[in-house]
Amino acid sequence: MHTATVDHGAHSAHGHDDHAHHESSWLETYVFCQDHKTIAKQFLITGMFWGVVGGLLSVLFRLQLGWPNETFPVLETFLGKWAEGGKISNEFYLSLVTMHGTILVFFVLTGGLSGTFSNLLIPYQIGARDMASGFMNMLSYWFFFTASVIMFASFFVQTGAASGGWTAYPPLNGMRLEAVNKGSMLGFDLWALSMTLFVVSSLLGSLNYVATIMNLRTKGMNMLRLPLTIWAFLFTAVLGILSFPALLAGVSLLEFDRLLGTSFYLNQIVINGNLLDYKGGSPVLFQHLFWFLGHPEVYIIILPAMGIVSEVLSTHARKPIFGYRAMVVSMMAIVIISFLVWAHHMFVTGLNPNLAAVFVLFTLLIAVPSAIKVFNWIGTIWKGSIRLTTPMLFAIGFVSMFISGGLTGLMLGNSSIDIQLHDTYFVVAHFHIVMGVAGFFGMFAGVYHWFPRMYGRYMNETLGYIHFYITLIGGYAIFFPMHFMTGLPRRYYSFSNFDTFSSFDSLVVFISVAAIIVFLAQILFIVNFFYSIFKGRKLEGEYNNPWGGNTLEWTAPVARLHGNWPGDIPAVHRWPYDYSVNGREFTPQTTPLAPGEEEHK
Amino acid sequence: MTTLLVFGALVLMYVILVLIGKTNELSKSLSGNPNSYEKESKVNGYLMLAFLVGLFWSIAFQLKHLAPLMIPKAASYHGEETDRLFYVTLFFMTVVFILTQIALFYFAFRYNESRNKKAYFYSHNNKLEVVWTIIPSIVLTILVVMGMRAWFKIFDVEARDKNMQVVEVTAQQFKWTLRYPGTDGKFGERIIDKEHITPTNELGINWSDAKSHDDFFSEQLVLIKDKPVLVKLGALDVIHSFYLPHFRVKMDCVPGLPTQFYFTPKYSTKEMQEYLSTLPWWQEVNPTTGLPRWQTFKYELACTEICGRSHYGMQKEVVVLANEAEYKEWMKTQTSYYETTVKATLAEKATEEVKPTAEVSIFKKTLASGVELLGALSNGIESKLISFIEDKGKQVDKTTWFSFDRLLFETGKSTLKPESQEQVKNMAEILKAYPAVELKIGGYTDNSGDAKKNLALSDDRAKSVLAELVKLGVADSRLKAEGYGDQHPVADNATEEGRAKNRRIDVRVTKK
Repeated sequence: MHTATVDHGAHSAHGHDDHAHHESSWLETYVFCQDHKTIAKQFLITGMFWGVVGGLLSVLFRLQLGWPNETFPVLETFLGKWAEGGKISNEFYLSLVTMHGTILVFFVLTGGLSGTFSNLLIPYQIGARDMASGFMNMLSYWFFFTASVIMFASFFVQTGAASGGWTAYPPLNGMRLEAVNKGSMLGFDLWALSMTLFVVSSLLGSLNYVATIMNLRTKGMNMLRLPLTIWAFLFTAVLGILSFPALLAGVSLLEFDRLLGTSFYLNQIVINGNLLDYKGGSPVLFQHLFWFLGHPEVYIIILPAMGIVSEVLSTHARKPIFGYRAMVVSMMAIVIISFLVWAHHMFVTGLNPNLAAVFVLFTLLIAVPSAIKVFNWIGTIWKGSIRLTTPMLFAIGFVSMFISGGLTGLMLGNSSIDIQLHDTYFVVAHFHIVMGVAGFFGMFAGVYHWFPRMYGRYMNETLGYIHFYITLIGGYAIFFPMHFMTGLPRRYYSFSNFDTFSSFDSLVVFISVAAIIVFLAQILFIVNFFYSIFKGRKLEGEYNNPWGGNTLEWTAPVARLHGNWPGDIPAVHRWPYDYSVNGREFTPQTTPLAPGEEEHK
Repeated sequence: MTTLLVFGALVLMYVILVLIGKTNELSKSLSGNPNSYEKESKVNGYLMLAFLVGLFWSIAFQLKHLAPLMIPKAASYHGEETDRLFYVTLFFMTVVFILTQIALFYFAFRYNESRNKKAYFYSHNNKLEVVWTIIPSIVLTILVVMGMRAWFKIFDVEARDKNMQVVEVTAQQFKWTLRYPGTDGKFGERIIDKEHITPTNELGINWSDAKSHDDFFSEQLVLIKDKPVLVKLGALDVIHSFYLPHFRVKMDCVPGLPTQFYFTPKYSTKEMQEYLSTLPWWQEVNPTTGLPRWQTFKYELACTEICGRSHYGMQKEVVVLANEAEYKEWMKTQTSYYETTVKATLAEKATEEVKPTAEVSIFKKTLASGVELLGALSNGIESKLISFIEDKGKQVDKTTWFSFDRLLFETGKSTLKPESQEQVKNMAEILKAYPAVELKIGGYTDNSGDAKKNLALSDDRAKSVLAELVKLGVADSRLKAEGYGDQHPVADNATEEGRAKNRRIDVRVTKK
């Protein structure tokens, strides 16, 4: 493989020429492809498929929550016994919320977001022909694909898909007993198998990203000339490498309990008056293992979105990102602190109260780098000459959502307030805004921004605006009112058994309607995406830099090319954010410094 | 058909939107520079401003209309403190929220390219970075310190009142078992082994421990105003979470890992009702009960850790009595489980006397909820229904019906006679004790008279039973009623005896 960073350009150009003589078959071009650009598209389109599935699941459970007394005969047609008489059953409801969480957190916002943009942008933006190992990269996608197939298949087993929550806590998910939970039968085994393959996929991808960024940068691309996207992908990959193994271990031990009768997580279980043989395990141990991944996971979702948003804000505001170094340092701080906050998900599990203190401290501490990032984004657009294109709108929407959702984290992170808020709709509002909606906004900003890079065409702007405004307003309409539902437990099939929780009857209808509208708007995005691949406005001639960006991906030709650049890889002479300086609107990284010009520090 | 229409309409909508999008794109291409976004920026700039205004307006609207529906003020001492902390945090959050959202959307409007042609190159300012690192750090330090003070006060074991009330709460799918230590103030010992834990003694209580003899199970969680209480928590099967929303109390119940929560109720149920009667929303009449909301207010216990299909049904009422005297009165109404239930069984076992079962005897049953069924017969609907529900081997099907045996209607009407109440109540209690169960209620008549009228009457009667059950607190989503008129006779319509048997109400379990 390529070795030195400095003389890399000439060296790998040679390698590329060799490669060009090799005729690729259809299978190698579109299916088992090792080209980072194709793999990025594969991740994106799989992620979009999952986005629709995950969204559809939420529409289904919103039907139940919004209209608990209505029946929808069409549901029985499609779902059979899971919606007998046109009413979603309580068991299926739990499957819906469980799979909705799993799919959106892992398959859309990790696989779909990080998988797509790390693959697309790392080689392009650092000036590399491809990933360090194209083969591993291909494997990473196909593990993801297999994990997807298995996860999807689990909907069709007789006892139903996993239904014990996306967090998979034992003992509910720890025993194969139909009387306890149907979804904990085969459905959960498939869930665990799928997640195992997902972790493998993530590790193969992440190791590759780190190796590529560290070793394959083009001439002149030192670390402080990296665009913030690349910094974000690098940190994300490091987070993934360090945290996903904990989940793998946790889930493996869980399967040992389930299939081999061990007692890692089980102790003194009584079912129908019979004491089972499990002895000495601790259900709380699993929670530690799960959240050791689970919390960094939210940063695995949000860091790439932050990177994308930084890039998009700066490019479309025609202004350098404000506080580049502060942005890098704050991301690094987030990476480190994110490993020290996991138990804030466990304040009321019987954790030692003294231990909780440590986690409160670090949890609130992590708000500082997050705040720094927000201030810097606002600083970036201040006095810019902002082009309010679709990607820019989504980037601004991201910042708005990140503020709204991030702030409520200060309440949830403070253990004594969390006693009341834990596992209620307040939490639902918090994490959906801060990593769900915000994560999606980051992803949309990225798709609209780099679509011309991927397909040589633009996405339709009008449809993009409609998509943006419905999603922005709808996102707030769905989740903001949930803050008022503080104290209402989440994952409830119906609130009718409680006087205390039944005061929001008309609000839940409103939220359900908003959710359905937002879902339909996402379909519009998908229509726009596929329509634009074939019929979108083409980039004109040599105009292959649609937004006037400085980064290297815009120096590559529009035509899809294995190896990215014909001839030598361009060398880099400056940082990526020279916008509106020295009388030029933008100055690509490949432009050498003018005589007497000093590089931005 | 409607589904197809809706689907068709949606497809049409997407097609139209795509056409609009395409037209705009074409006209932009024709009219000049397709890569200029100045016009779009101008329009979007105004929309950003409009969104900002709309966002704040909608928050104000929500504060006005949703805030009154929220769970009311804290009913415990520590809860007041955590609520105060919530509002202190909310204050800081609101300041940051308003400033940053205004800056974000206003800048997007003010500096869009139609208003600001040239961007100002300004890449960093280290002083500014320091300022906006230090200010949040200070605020967060304040919040951490305040939070920790509240937290350690809640979990300060040393400071606990020696005189506190102690209640043992055990969670299992899908119910709470509340055990009180009785007059001696001490719980009987529990032994976790296969000998002690049995289907009739799931907690594994050691009945030879005399301390267990006055322990009682309560249907409601009864607490005393201003009296500290320690709730000892446990679970049998999966993790549950003990949640008292009004008291700001939440702690997981974990199998094999005891947990606890110590707190002091501040307002009795009556005081809370009185307080709520001063709030406008609580004065409104609740359409389902016909009473002002505050009058039917009650504290409740809920489960907040996903625990399986009927997670949402784990409800118990919580009552806070005004003082110890009231509590003593209440204690008198409670009966020791050992005395009423265990002793007799043990004695029976000891004497090994197996009596031949009489043809019809009284069906004595105390539900898991602690409620005792009244007047049920061994061949009555209660006993048949319970054994059907509890027998895992029996599947729900469309043919297994059980007939009410003590239900009487006024002739030709759907009004229940008062003597029917006992059995209806039993049924309601059974439904509450098995929250997963759902029933279909069928009404039937004999074949005399007008078939149409019979059908209507049977339907009305089935529905009036349903209404009665709902009145007794069963969620109506769990019940369905239908009349079948003179169909499905169970006896010969030729004799009066047979006709009487055919005039009946049946139930079928549709889910368990």
